[in-house]
Amino acid sequence: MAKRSGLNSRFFWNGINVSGDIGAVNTIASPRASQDNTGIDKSANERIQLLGDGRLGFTGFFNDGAAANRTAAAGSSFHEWSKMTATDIVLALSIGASLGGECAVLVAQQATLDANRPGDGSLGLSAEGQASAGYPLEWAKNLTAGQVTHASAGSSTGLVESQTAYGGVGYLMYEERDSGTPTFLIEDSADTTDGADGTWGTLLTFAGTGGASSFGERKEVTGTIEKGLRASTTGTFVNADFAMAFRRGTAEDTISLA
Amino acid sequence: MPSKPKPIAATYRVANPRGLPATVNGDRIPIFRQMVDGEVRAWYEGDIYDGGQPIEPLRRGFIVEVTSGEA
Repeated sequence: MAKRSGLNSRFFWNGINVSGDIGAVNTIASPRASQDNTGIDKSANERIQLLGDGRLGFTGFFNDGAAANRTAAAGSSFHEWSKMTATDIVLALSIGASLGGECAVLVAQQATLDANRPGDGSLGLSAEGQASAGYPLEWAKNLTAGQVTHASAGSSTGLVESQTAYGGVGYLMYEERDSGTPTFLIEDSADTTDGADGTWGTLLTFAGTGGASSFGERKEVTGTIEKGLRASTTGTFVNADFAMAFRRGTAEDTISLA
Repeated sequence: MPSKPKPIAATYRVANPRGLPATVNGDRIPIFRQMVDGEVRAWYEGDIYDGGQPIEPLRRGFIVEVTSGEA
């Protein structure tokens, strides 16, 4: 990866690809509180980090039709945003839509939905989610090229990096399927050379299965993560639309998953 | 000179080193998958391994050798 723009990005709201109804992502924040503990023998501040946080917010367009990025879906993006549900949902901003691309992910509750209709006649929305499950905003890497469709059980081509020893966090953003019930897995491989060959072990299974309702899920795994990671499905189904991302743990993590 | 006895091929059973659930919402969860003869094969806990070279699944603990009389 190299310097790049934010073109061709994706935004997933509770699993739904709402990218076509969003014009700008204004807030991608991972603030961390700090405590000042400066001694009188110092000439500048000393601080220690405290709680992490996260916020993802955007401005979008009013769309109460079912079509925008939601073929055969039950509700529009406005329908989703106007629920203002008090449950945790997964928000994800994928920078680009390629395998291995960076993806900001947050388990959040919706804090705002503001609509505006200025004098020029335009109609806009803005909304923001704030961390709600004890996890800060996390930067993961896409295990799918944006949103993908598995026609039936199978695996996407994997991302090949280097083995790490600090566990990690998997994210699933599930939107819909035509029929059946897909189950979602992340697999890892120590001997793959191209993301497809080699031996792939099941690393984690997501608890949520694909039904009529979209959803997002965050799941942690501990220990060694092999160099190859890929998104897989099992079960009997037709055309499951989803995206997946994974954040490898590091030695710097506040809570180690080693 | 007596001929050398032919080595008996080892038998391997699929283990579950990561403690994965056997099923999630009714779907069996594979322990590992490999490409065999151009097709993806999945192995589940308790299966007898009949894939290719067992080196990598052995190294990762996905299969364990079955001792005599256990198979």
